[in-house]
Amino acid sequence: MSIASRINYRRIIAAILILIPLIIYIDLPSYNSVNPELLGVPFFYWYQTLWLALSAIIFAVAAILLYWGEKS
Amino acid sequence: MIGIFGWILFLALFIVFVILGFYGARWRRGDMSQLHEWALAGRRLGTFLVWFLIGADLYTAYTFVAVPSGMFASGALYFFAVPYVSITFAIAMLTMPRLWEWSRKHGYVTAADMVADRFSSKTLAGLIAITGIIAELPYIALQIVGMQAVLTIMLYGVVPNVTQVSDIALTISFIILAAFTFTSGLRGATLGAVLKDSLIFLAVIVLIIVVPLKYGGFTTAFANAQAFAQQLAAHKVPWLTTGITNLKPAASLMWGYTTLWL
Repeated sequence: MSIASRINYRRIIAAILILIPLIIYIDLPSYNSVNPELLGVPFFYWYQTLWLALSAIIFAVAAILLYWGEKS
Repeated sequence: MIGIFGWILFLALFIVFVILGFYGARWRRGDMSQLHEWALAGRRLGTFLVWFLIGADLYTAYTFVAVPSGMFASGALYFFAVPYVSITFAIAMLTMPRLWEWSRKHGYVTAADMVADRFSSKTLAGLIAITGIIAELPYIALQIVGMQAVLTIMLYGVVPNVTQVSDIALTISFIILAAFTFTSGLRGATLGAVLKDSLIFLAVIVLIIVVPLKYGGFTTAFANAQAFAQQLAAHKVPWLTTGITNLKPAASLMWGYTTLWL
């Protein structure tokens, strides 16, 4: 596989990863509910907070895919 | 309100902040007569310190005073801050590394420098610079109002004339801020940011532990909020109108939530 196509491949995966949290958050009806609760916290709050942490991990992976091995 | 221990702690932290701010001028010393040494700390802060700096930019009086009080007044709607923060970082991740690289290669210090060079238009660069300054003003005003609210609560019952004393305190703190920004540039701000972020981490951890312990868990807290909202509704007070545990299924607000963070 040539270098150029490998870079593109990485970019596509990174783009998909970045889109995941965006789609999750845009789909408001899917999390606008009280149940299931977690330790007394309604779903609406803990689900969005959980995705805040998950999106941080996902974006970190995307950043590695995009920028790893680049000369700084 | 905060007691003698609270005041000692507040003053001690304030003094540490001021010392850090002025110490910044000597820290990782560079030739301060050069603009990029002063404004960008010589472009050698590194990822970890920039992380602190961005953290301090993000978690401001707005996050600590306005969003919680918005939650208190309107309910679930103000949780838009959470998706907003998440998606902002994705956008920054895509655009900022390229911008940084260009800027270092060509020696840009501000966004206006980049625009002036890349689009070779001084007018456009000037407009970008003016937009940046104007956009900053309400942001600074927001912080001042937030600090004023905090000071008012702190001084309540301590001094007879709360408004005047808090105005004087704000003026003094801004003179000090301007002084150490002038002498230390971004270095002073970075050191301050490290301390500020550490305190924020501490505050968040303490809140997560203390609130459930002291107020009988989140279930009770939400139940109390619900009861409080019903009381308010009985008196036709329009607080917490967008729901406590989730957004009320009134369809118009659903779009409001998404558009707010987008």
